Amino acid sequence: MNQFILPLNHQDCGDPANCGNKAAMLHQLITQKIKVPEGLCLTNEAYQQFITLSGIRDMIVMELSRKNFQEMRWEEIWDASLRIRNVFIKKEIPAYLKNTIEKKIKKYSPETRWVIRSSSNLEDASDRSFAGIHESYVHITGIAQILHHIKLVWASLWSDAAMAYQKELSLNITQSSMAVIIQKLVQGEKSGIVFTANPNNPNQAVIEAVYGLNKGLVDGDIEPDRFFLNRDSGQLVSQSLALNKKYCIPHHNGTKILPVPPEKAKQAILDKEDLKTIYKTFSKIEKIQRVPQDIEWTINQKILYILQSRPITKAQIKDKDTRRSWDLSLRRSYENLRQLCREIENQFIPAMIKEAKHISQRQLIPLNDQALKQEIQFRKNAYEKWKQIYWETFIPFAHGMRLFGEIYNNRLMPDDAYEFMDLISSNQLVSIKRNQMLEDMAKFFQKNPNISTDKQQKELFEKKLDQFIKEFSWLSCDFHQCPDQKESLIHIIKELAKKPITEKPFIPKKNILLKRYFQAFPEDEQDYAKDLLNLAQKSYQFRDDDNIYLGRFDTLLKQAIEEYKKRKIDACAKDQNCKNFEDNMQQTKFSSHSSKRTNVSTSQKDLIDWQPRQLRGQPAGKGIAKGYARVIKKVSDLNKVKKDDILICDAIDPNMTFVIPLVKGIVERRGGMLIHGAIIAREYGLPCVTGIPKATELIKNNDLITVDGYFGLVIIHSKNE
Amino acid sequence: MKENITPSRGKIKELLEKQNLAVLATQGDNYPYNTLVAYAFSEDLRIIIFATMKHTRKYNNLAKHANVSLLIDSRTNKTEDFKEAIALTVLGKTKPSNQPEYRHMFLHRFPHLKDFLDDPQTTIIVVEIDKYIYVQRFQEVLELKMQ
Repeated sequence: MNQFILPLNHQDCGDPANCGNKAAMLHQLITQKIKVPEGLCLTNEAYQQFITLSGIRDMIVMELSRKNFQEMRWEEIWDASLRIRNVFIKKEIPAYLKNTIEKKIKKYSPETRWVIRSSSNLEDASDRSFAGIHESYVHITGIAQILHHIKLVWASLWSDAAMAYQKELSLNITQSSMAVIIQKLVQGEKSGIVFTANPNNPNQAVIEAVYGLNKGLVDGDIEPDRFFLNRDSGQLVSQSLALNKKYCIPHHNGTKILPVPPEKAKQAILDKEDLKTIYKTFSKIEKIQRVPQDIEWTINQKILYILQSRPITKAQIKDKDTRRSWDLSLRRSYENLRQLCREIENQFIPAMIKEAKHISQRQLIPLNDQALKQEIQFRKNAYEKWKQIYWETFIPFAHGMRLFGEIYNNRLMPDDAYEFMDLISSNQLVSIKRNQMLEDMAKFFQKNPNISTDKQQKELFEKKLDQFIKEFSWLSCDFHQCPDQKESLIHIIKELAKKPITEKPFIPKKNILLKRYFQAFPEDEQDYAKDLLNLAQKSYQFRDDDNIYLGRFDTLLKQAIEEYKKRKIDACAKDQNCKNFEDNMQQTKFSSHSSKRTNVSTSQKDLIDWQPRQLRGQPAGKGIAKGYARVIKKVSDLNKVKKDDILICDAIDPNMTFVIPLVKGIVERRGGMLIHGAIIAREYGLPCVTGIPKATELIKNNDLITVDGYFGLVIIHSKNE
Repeated sequence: MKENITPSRGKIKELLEKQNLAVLATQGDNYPYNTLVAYAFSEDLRIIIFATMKHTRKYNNLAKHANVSLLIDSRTNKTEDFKEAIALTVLGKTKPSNQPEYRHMFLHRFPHLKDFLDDPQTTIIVVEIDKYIYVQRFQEVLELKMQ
């Protein structure tokens, strides 16, 4: 008979196929008389029963059928993972399984504090290590919370990180499984990690130590003291102490981080006796395991407990796929996000606005050619500098929305995994303000149909237009591809005036959701709830605004390049010897933001003869719209958008979204719920499907199509052939 | 000259090669009529053939309405089908033919059906294909026109 739950010291726990690698390792340590916190293991069989009986297995298969893993962008993987996670949260554990778990837990005091940890059959194997890819939860009390967190750990088998490494982990629905360790929390005064062989010096071991729980260290929020020991003798070779010490303590059903009092902060966390104890134990573990280990430990009342041990592998840390490593680095902690938010809001955005204003005041016409070249370089440097900050700070900050979404779903368990988006959306986006101005001009146009003949109305309209160009000139069109800015703008406004202009849809649910959200947090966590919401709202807003601010630098650079080109062309026209003038300034030399974004370079090879009828992507904006396709391959195509078109684009950014009030629906190649196309579609209540590979190639201008933003489908009714 | 195999044709061919049976839909008097048939196909994918006896309902239906639809799929009756299974709908026009090349094509694939094919009641039906409709990942639909 299958046993669903076993004590860690039960002999069957030694089998990784039954209990996962982590539990098997802990069992082995227990048999070797190494102190491990007491606990239970919920076996792989329990996970299998749960996903089969609840229908989750089928749901995962459906989710994975949406697209090949290899074709998925990071955002799409996160979305798929979030949807899967939400199903785990919502489904009830079968009664007989629940009763079995309850029966075992009831043998302990109701006040017992637990750690709920992953023990999958994928992680921690000797040939590969993907630390932190699955979830563990510290300081959980009460059976309801234990059961809830068991489901979260099960769901983390399908975490975004695990799915990103699907191939390496051999993650699949038929073979992958997740056992769960339910272990007593030992609240150590000191905790840390040992690398029994220093990756930079194999003769040494490194001990990292923090005060309190080691969760803050594992999550990367707390800088540890580091002690370097001679591996053979255990002698301390050197140490480096953290300057800004913090510590992690249990708090509600979770933890919180506090600063270490100054008198304690200057001391080394570990004394000689601690180092000796840790050395002795890790040497013993390494002897048993025969390979260098990465060991998590804690010290409570002078007793050393081993929380986890796994082999240090070459695969750890190093990942040849740098893009994927970078993607994974985007998962930021609450603490880190707060820091990023402060930097962006107080430092970077004001500095960007100031610098862009300063550059825009530098006149180009009076400069001689040499000075103009220098000006181009100057602007290029400014653009590159801000682009780097954008990648290092602004993009990681977008994780604020993700973090909020996960916490919101944990606490409120909504049917729609994206309900949280209604709470963080904002009409304060710069792009929305810009579009409102355009719509105001369109309204003026509607009310004054004789604008071309009535001098007074014409002047008034011109004034409004000039005001818009002054404020948003860099948004209205790409300078070098669209020299006649005013013409393009008038086209957009005229098209806008053809349709009734309605106010942006109000989300009536928002107040109800807000109330429910705050009710989900206890009294002393209200401030945290407020902070978290604020962080997510800022993350949402900056995700859009930051592109607009960066776009400004791009435009300023292009303006200078255009001026230079114009001079060369003029000079060539005057020079009889100058034939077939070719601009020797390589566009790539001054590679810029928006031109890169719209450049589609997918091979046409495999598109020769397929005629798409129905394309599957991600639902990113609810609703259904039928209309004619307008494909955006270059920025100037935006000026051709007509009322009620369906916008087909590769990757829309906020500098392009001024056409959104015109269109009926959006289809985008880039996938995800948190991309600009999806955000703006949500703001305007437009049907939107994202993540359609080769969208701009498979769909042609004037194809009659339907966008189904509920299921994530694009149906092509008739081709424009 | 050997025709270049484009990715779409490659995928269609792969499925046609893996499967042996297709669901044939003919037009009955009151209802569409489905039957299972063993099929073979030409290298250039323009023709699919199957064999039927002349007294069958499908043969009678074909005598009245030459247009047919065939379904060939890779389902395994597991949940994974929603991710992995491919369904190919084939639309085309039929005509009976007992030309030796079609007999050869059919027997090459199904040598064990020789007795069936040799029966005087049996004839080969040639489907000249107008269009392939290829469905993957549950709802992704791509088409290939042959005419």
